[in-house]
Amino acid sequence: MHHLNATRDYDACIDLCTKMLEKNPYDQQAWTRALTAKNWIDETEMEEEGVAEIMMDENATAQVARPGTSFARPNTSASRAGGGVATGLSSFNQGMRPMTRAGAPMTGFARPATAARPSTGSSRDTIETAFRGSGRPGTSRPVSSAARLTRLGTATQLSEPGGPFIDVDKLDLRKYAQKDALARALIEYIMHHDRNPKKAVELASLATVNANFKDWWWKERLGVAYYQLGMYRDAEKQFKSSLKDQPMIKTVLQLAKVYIRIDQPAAAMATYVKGAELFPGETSMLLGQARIHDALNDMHLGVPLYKEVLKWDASNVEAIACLAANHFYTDQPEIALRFYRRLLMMGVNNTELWNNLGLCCFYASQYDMTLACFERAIKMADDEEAPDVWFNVGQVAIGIGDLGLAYQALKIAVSVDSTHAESFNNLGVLELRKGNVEAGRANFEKASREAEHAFEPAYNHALLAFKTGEFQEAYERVEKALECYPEHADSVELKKQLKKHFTLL
Amino acid sequence: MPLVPSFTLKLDDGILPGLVVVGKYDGTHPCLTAATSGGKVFIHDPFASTTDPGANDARASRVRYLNINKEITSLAAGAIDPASPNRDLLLVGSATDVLAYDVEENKDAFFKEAPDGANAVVCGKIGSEARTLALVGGNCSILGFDHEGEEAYWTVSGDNVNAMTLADVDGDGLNELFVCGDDFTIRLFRDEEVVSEITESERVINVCHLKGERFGYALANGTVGVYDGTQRQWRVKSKNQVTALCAYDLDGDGERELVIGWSSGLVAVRNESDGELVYKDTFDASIAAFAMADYRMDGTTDLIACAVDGEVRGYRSQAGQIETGDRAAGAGAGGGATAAAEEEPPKKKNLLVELNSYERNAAAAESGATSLTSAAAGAIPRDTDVVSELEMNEELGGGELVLSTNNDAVIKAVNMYGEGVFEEEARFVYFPNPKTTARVFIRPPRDICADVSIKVLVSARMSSVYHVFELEFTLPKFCMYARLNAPVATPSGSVSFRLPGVNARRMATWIDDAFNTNVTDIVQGPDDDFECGFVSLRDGRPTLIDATFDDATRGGADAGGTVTLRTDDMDLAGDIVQELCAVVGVTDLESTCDFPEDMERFRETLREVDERNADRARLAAEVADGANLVKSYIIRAEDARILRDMDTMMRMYNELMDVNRELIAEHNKRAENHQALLAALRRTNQMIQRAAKLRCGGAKTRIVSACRAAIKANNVHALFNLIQFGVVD
Repeated sequence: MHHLNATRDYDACIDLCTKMLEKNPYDQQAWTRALTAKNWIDETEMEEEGVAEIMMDENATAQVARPGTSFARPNTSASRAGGGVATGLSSFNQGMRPMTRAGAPMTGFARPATAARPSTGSSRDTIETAFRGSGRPGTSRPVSSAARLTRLGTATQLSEPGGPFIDVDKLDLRKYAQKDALARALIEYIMHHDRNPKKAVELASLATVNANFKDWWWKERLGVAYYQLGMYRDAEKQFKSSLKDQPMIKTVLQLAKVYIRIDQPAAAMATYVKGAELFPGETSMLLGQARIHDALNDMHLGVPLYKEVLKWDASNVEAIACLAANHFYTDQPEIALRFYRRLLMMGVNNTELWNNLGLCCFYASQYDMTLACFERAIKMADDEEAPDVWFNVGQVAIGIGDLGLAYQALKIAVSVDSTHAESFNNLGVLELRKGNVEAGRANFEKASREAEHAFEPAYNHALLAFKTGEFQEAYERVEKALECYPEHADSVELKKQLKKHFTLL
Repeated sequence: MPLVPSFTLKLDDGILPGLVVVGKYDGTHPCLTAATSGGKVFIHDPFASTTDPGANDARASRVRYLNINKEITSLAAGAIDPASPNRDLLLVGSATDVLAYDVEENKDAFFKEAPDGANAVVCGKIGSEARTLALVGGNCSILGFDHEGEEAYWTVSGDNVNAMTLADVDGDGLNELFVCGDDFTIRLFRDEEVVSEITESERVINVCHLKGERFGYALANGTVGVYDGTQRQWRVKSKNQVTALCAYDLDGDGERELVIGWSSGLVAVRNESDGELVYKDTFDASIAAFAMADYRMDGTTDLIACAVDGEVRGYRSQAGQIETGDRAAGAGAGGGATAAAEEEPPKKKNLLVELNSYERNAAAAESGATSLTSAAAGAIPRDTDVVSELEMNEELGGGELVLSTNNDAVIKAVNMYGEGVFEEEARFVYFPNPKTTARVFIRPPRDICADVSIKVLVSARMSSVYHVFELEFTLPKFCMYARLNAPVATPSGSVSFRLPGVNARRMATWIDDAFNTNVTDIVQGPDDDFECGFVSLRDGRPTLIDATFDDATRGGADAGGTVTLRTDDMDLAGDIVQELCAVVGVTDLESTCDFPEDMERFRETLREVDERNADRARLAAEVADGANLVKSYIIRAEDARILRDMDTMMRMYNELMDVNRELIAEHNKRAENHQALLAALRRTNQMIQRAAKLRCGGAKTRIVSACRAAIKANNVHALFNLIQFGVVD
């Protein structure tokens, strides 16, 4: 049995234990971690925020924090607010780098919960906007972040004939809290297999009392259980207390997670920095810092951290991908290509990578490779990824002047994902070139609606309205564009012209 | 004189009473911060456009909101972080915790549980503590946190703390702390030690420092006044509630006036020395709070008054504006003159009436008329005097103030005034059948040493003309304890201590004074050991005082006596010890005590605190779990609505209703548990305070901090030893 557990053959181990328990139902030795390990989730990773949290929770202290101090205002960077003059390098430039669906800058690595909340402001008050972001209601975001953990289905329990393996509700947790070793296995089971943080809180608090409030492990468990319940302040307290007893990497990561959840990047950053001092060379701390810089639009501050990560761990996919993206968006596609090739050599083989390789090849003028890369990407793409790949194919086609191909590619993109704003925007431009003004307008309209944070469709729409003489409409649109991207030169120019017109009238 | 505001603002949000503060969160720009409904705090930043260039809509961005998601009970701002000595942190207190929030960085400095609640928060340096602390006044306790949320100060106070203020009272450069609370007292703390204590007649809701030893206070019954040290200077009372209090030099004469905000919306500025109304202004809604800041950043500190409907007015000191200042002074003098003129006629009239009556009396005496005629004329003999005496009556369960005249003149009515003696402050008793001796029942609700001023209306038997005799009567502190005549069973509780430099006579004299008795009769020599017993007229519980003294011939500096108090009432024992020490001049007193009943109750209380705390964690988890369930039901129902799946939607909403009902039941359980926990914690703090009251001076302070340490370490054994013997083992 132990051997099976060690070799991670969990199913076989579970079978064996079940047999043992059939013989002797009270053999507590057979309570094994196999069930737990089978359902284990990495708790140190951020989880996606559910629709319910977005709609109904206000965990962040500041509703509208100062620029650069909140994840909720990704378009504002601390360096931009402080400096005044935005240099191309120091700050994220929306003209240079695209944004994710939720309006956060693209980082080069898809991570959970960096997608941020779907913009701040009035629009988030409706459930429809909360559902938006990744598609259709009922299928997109998790209902709540806890719902991912709470007892949703019975899928895992089907493997256990005769009901659940341990019925936690019937256990006398007081008794088990006395037996430390058993309680540790039990709480892991409750948290990972049963997903019942309420009971976990009960057991962990009993066990902490039993350990005379001196055991870091129990405190950390208690904190995690509180976190899963959404009691972030209690979680923070437990993690801090646990760290005081015994600094541990995972506790630091959990604490930072709490701060990220209550939208206090500065506190999370301080936690990571402190953790990095305690555990030099721990890449997760460095990555945590870099992620916060990315999320706050301070890309240039993240770069040295990613490099540092690579010094310690040369095959860190996230760091390589982010550096690659950074090089790509700072006009060095050749260097980005080398990073992506490194990823390829490491065995990463997915749509996104081939897609990025294709783009790098294109911009590095290696045209022969470009379409081959995209072909591979399309071959591997599922419905989530296909629109992006097709959009990029369209982009490349526009670049080489093959507007027919571009039109078709973009049409495919929007046929797969009817909310793909970028494709709609580009389609709009193509329609305009064809002279279909109304179709173009409709496309811009759709794109603006789907991506409120993007300035391009708004500007395009404004320009169109300006050319067709609808100055009022143009003014409204250009205002919107400037709201998203105040430094956009063309929009500023257009606004100036509009104002001139208005004064003439 | 009406007050002209120097600026006005109308905020969109209501302001909760007392929850306003001005902080410089970025180190330069002052921001008005106030709590509003729904557990939110808003920050009004008049300079927002200069600090946030990204803000397009200047008006909207001036006000920012913070979600606290809890009922806010206190608000303060202070630069407690030594790393950034200019930048204020915002401190938000709620019923269970304190949050120190860095507004500029959008970051918590600390978030600490304060199980005793946080009714009042002030920031500043206290006593010899070098760091700037955030002092949090809760239920019987005062906690001080440094910038990392580490506890740096702790002491106990009587009841719920309502307000605190830091000020250097004695001019030694170190701040003292004024604390006022629900136990009717205003305490002054120097470090952890109470240096003075004033008992008022109502719950004290606010206190503010004026200058030196002078401070203003406000009571829950609408009284406002000023004390200088322990001497009251003046007070006024209104039917409205005092909602805000502060000190600001509005007329620019260099002395700060007392500014009072009323629930009626009136802002009154009164002279601190005599209470004369200097200025006033009226708002449409009740005043929420005052703040002081250089809000327009022109170098002058303005007084900012906020009303609950969000109206904000700023007032400026008249100093420097010489012209207007002169006019104001002139007007003030003029006002005084007219007031004097108005006062003159009634005074003169009264004097004339009095003179008249004297003349009549004299005439009657001279004419040698019969007593009947003179009585008819209302005259009483010229040598008439009224004497007062206090008689305790065990049957009545109280005392009787016996007033008697020394001749035929009868007492028609008595008007008595004494704070804390009567429930209603003053009492007027009319005797339908006047006699030469009048008995007035007195039953002070608490043990206090009070001066009762008595006005006795005396007249001849048939006359309708009264003569008023004014008497002062000092009620002994422990007058509600009558001397025991028969031996009683010895009470189980006791406290014993050594009194250096006190001999038997001194002790006996004190007992006589304080208990309104005559123990001195049984004490012959200065070293006579004696015993005496008292019984409480309130609950009939006995108190025995057993005093033994060193041989008078031994002499020496530490010669004195050992006193053992036997009583079951720990509060009474504490009161007696404190009073005795104060009167005989003992500044440092150690004692050992044993109150088995109280200690047993205390043990129960500590156990209850543990249990309730454990329950609290469990209940909180259950509520959070329920809340998560509610959220997912709502989302699923709405999801179904968008997909037009009405059956699922109905089902989800039905489920939601059930969960919601459960949640409400859980909440009720939790609320009940919280109340019980609060009560238990309060009893714990009160026990520590009682233990402290059995000691004096340094020993008292030491006990409080040692008890706190023992509670934090969860060391019940040490705690009990501390309470009983004053030492850990």
